[in-house]
Amino acid sequence: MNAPNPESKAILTSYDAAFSELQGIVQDLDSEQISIDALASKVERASTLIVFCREKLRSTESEVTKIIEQIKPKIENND
Amino acid sequence: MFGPLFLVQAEIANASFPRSGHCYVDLVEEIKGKQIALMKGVMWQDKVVAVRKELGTAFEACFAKGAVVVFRARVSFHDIYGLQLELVDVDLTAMLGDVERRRQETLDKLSEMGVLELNAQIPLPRVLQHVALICSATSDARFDFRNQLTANDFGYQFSVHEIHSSVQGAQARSELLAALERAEKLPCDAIVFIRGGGSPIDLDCFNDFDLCLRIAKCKLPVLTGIGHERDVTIADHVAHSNFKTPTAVAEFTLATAIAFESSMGELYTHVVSQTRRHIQRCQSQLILCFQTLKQRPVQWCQLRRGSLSQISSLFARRVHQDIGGHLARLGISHSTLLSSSARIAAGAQVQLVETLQNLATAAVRSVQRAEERLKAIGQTLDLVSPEKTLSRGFTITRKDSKAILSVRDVEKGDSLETTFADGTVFSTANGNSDERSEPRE
Repeated sequence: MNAPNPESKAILTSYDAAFSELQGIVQDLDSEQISIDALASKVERASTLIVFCREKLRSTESEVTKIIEQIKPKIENND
Repeated sequence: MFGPLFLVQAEIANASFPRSGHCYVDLVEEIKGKQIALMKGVMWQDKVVAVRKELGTAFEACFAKGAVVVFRARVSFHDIYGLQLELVDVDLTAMLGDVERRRQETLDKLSEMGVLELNAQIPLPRVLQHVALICSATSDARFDFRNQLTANDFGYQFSVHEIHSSVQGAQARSELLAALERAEKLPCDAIVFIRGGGSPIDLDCFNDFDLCLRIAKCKLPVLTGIGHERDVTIADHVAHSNFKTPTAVAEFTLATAIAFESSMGELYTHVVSQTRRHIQRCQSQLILCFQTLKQRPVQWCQLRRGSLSQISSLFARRVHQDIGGHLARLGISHSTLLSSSARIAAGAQVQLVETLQNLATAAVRSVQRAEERLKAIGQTLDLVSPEKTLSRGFTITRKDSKAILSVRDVEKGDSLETTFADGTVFSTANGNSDERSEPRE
């Protein structure tokens, strides 16, 4: 069972770290390992993580699309 | 006039073609480098023409220095020039057979040495963009090769470093070797040998043992495009790859660039789609997490609430049961109590009544007894009352108002009061019966 996270606003920098933490919480939820006391704070933390991950994905996606658009003409010109 | 024709195999030590059109050759036979026979030969002009026609491009190779040729010849003795061989014809078949035999020998030797696959094991660079081209300066093969590469439709740039060498005849062997040495030092992706079509004799220089060994041991991959489709020289065997024609080599080189670029295109597409898929996968995972987050805690609380209410209703039921039980027991006790107490009361009542009755009876009896006793006492009292006693004739004698009980208490002369039933007599004592009484002091 996850030890309760003292700061629900712990610094989120890495998608992988955030996502694996999120998976941990989901697993606990699925296995009903969370006490009623911790439930609310866990759900809050999970929401924070989801939002962070979504944002990260969106920004990555737009970055990647930008890069692809940049090199696309270079690739397609020679066909 | 004409003597018999002999088949003679000899090595050409020297061949000259003066303007007369005749051909003069010095023929030798060597064993282990040692000359064991030497003879002059001549081919008259008409025969030279015929043989040229027959051999075609192989003619050069046949009459090159060091070439081993099989002639049909007559032995002739010239007045001036002495003994010589009159060369009538070149036995191509025999020569070819010889070429073939030597070729096979060389092949076997190289095979035994285990070098046939050496060059093939060198990894070919993905794209052949810089090649060293060993070819004859004048051949069509050279132009064909270059055109293929420079005029390609894709705009690829190739750098071709040409090293010229003869590709047939006596010089070919050493020139090709030298060219190979030079090419190996260049910073190129591969070394290419090309030459156009020709007879097996023409191509024979590419069967040379030293050249082929050198190719086998070459540090760069060697590609060959020698002759036409059916020609396979040993150089082809030992090279990294061999191609049917020089054009085919050029096509291959071009193809490496095309393949690379299209693989880049594929790679780009692959990267794009993989990236997209990865992102989508992450998004799906997140959505799943979110679903769980949405549903699970609520489900869970409901579950808990359900079990809580279950427990509480269970609890309530149990309590009711218990209380009911208690109440029931109380009820029983109550009625028991009621009936018992009623019974007890009744019993007590009865007892009380009885007791009362007993009491009354006893009291009455007591009183009666007491009355009887009193009566008895009264009667006794009555019997012993002074009055009665007095009336019976007794008297009370008092002295000084005090009753005297004994004669001793009376002395002579005492005033006495004697009470009778009907009065008192005052007297004085004259004496008593007991004269022995002592005077009082």
